[in-house]
Amino acid sequence: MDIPALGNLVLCLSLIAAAYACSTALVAGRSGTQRWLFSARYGTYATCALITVAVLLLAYAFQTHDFRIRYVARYSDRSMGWAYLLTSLWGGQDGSMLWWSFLLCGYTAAVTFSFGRRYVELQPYVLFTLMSILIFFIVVMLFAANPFALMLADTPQDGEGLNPLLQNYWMTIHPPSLYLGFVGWSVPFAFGIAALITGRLDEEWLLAARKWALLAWLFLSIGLLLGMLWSYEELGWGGYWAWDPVENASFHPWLVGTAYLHSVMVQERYRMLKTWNIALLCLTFFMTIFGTFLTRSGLIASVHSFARSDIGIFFVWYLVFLAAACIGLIVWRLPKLRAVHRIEALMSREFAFLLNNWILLGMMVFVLIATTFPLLSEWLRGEQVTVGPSFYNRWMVPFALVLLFLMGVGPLMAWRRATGKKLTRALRAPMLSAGIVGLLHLLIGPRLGFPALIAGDALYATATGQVLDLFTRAAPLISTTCCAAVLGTIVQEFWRGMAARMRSQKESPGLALMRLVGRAKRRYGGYTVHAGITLMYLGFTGAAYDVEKEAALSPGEMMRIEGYRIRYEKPRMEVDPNKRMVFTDLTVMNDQGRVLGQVSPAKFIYRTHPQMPTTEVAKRVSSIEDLYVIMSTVDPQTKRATFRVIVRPLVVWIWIGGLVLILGAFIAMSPSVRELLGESAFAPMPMRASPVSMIWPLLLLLCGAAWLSPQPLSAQSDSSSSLHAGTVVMHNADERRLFSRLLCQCGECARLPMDGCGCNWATQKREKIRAEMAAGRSVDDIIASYREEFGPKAIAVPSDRGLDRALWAIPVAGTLLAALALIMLGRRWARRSAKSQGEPALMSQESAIEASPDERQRYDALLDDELSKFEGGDK
Amino acid sequence: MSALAWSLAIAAGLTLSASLWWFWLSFRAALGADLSAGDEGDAAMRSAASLRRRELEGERDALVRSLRDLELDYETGKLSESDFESLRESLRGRARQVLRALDEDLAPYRQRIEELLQAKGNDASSS
Repeated sequence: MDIPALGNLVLCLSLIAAAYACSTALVAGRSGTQRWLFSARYGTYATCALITVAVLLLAYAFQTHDFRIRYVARYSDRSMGWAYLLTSLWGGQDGSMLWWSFLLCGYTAAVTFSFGRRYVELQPYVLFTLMSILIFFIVVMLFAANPFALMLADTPQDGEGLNPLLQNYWMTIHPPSLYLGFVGWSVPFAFGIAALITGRLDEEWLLAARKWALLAWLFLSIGLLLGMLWSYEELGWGGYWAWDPVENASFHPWLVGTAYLHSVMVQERYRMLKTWNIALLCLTFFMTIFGTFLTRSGLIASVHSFARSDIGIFFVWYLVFLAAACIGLIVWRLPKLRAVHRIEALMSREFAFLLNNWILLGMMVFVLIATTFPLLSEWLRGEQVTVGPSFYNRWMVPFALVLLFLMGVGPLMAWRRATGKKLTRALRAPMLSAGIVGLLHLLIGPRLGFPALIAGDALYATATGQVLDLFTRAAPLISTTCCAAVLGTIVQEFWRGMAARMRSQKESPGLALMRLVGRAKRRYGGYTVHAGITLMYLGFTGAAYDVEKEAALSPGEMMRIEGYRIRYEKPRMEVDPNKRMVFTDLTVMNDQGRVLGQVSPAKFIYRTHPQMPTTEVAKRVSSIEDLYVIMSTVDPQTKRATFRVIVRPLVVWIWIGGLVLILGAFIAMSPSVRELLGESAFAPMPMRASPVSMIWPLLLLLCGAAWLSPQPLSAQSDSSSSLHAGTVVMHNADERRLFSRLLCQCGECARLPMDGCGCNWATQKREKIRAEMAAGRSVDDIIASYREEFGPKAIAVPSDRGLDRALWAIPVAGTLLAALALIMLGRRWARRSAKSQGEPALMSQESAIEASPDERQRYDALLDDELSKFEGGDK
Repeated sequence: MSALAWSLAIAAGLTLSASLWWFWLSFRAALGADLSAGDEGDAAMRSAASLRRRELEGERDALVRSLRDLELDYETGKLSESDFESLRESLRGRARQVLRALDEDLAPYRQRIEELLQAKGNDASSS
């Protein structure tokens, strides 16, 4: 079979088919005739099938080593097993475009299947939007990133092999999950666009899009978590989040999507924030495309540089088109988007949601400006700068803690208006738990190695730097206190709900819990998500107490760190067809000499990438701390090896929190009994086709991808910065402060700070700088010299003057001003609401004639019937 | 060639066939053939429900959702009894109005059904 020609033909046919489906959907929407709608639906299925054929053909080409295809030659070789050959599908840019399209087709087919006879007026435009997104990706593939393009030179005997970074367990399932999250937002976006085009801006589209949005959010969360896990397990630099532009790109839609999931609840109940919600949804989708653009265009230098290419211009134009189309549609429909109801009080759940939106968007804007600042700086003043992890880590702490605080207070507010007395009473238990935990942290923390206040260093030598430093020093105490308050709130919410049921319904605690959650799954699922995020905060707080040490040991020698003794036993080598693996066996003991276990950090040398020796981390995990061991070097003659050992407290709580978050999302989107039976009187959504039913095949896809990975945990790095990570030790706080601000300038380690880069250039430079420090030069003086020598881009934290100051000043000022504006607006709404007499009109101006007593009784019974349908319906 | 490669090739062939089949169905549908719903479907699509009715249904759902939240907030101690009662009564009052309007909206259909049933009954008795 001539796969390249066939593949190209199928892609061309897909483009025609997508254009056909798009056109028929448009005709169906315009004419309102069912035959065109049917035609569009069948056309959509046909297009999705064609994209699936393209994916299968590419998978076939990988399995048969068809190195005539450039993509196959570049991302596989003959030594790779069948499983990695399958995962190579999304290993590079061209394939990942096809993968994006394939997942979009999966979602589109599922949505089309789930429609049935519902949303008949929205259907054509939903299909039109989804198919138009698909057309964009097919165009990109055909003109800039064709996975079936032929080799320009002669067909090689063997391929270059998949980047070692991608040949591991976590990278097998991380990209599919992240893409499922990214692509998943297309569906609610399509519903939003359909509502705007048709003008049907009532709650129908919101309800239709709700579970799809939750599904996308869930996958995006799982993708982010897996990415963190991959970074922690595989890159060998000891952290889980480096604020790499690509990481940030996936964080942006998560933040906006989270804001949307909160504010949409206000619209569902009080038919307000209509413009805001549709704008948030459009922004979320925009950020997913922007994220794909950042990930795949190589626009900003990052450790994910393996994906650089020339597709950027396509994305830029598409982003411009998207922004113009969304803004145009929203402006066109503004009269129909007017709110019917306004917030009645500042102390209400609605206003708490608005504050939640405010801080989430503030975080998004902050990260977005910081991510794109190097580009802006170069564009505006021709000066290259770098924004390193130190900047984000310091500035994001206040934002994150405000969000944590709101998570604690928000759920205590009643809808519409909370009274001060009730709120004070509701705050008692959370405040008590916060007080106890805060006190314990202050008194006992230092003895356990977790002081409440930590030593810090100012990010800038200005007043801003001092204020930020003060906040950073107290951050662990604030964080643990807020975590306790949030957990207290959640426990109290569950307990109060259960207690009420136990009292009124005479139910047992277990049954009361089940029925309580079943009755309001979104509320209690949301609380569970909050609990998961709080546990993750606890894990993040642990980073303040990291201890690390480096030692060069010969077999039989021992090192000590934080209550551990680690004895180096021996090195050993294993070989498989793909690589050589050099392990170093270490015995871990406690201070009393009791053996706790064995760890074996390693280096892998891949046959196809011998210049990229990779680092495999070994860990000993407990609920208190992780012992994280990296083998930096080993001498084959003397067998002497260098190890970097880090004790990282509370890391495991990040992963536990992640699992709780996933559980909460499942609860929130789980179908009711009515939906399972397919007979919901409210939303007749048969289980076979609901978004919830979609989750099983998608999760199976992820699990399948995980299962395909034949070997666990093989840490790698590539020629980018991560190759050099994990081999450096800081001897004191001054060194840590200095080297975290300086970026390696060897030419290959873009963005990697000198406190983590182990390349030869960095090693030599560090020794030189250490000698200068020993000679009495100050840290600030050395930073200034380094900046002078290599330019501002060599410093991880831009200065606090001139345009550099705008980096933090604009988002911080914007966030504070937005808070002020929000409070003023809220007060205005509340005043207006107080002035208006009687019950605020929730809806259209219906006849307000009061019913007769008989009618009243009849409609009361009808209403009770409607309410009972909500039991378990979670509409 | 491995079994997996064979499987992929066969799957590609089958999916391509499915795609062609769906195209066939799409063309047939566009040309107006093989439609189960016919003109009734068109009518349903043009006015699945009157705009007014959908508005009312939307309001009913929003009110029911708000009532449920109100009850949960009261049960979990976030509202005083007087606040709960006044808010509940105002929401229920509005909900009654909406349900009544929905009822009125259905009245012509109900009357038509009754007429049809009566006509059918008359036919049956005359035969």
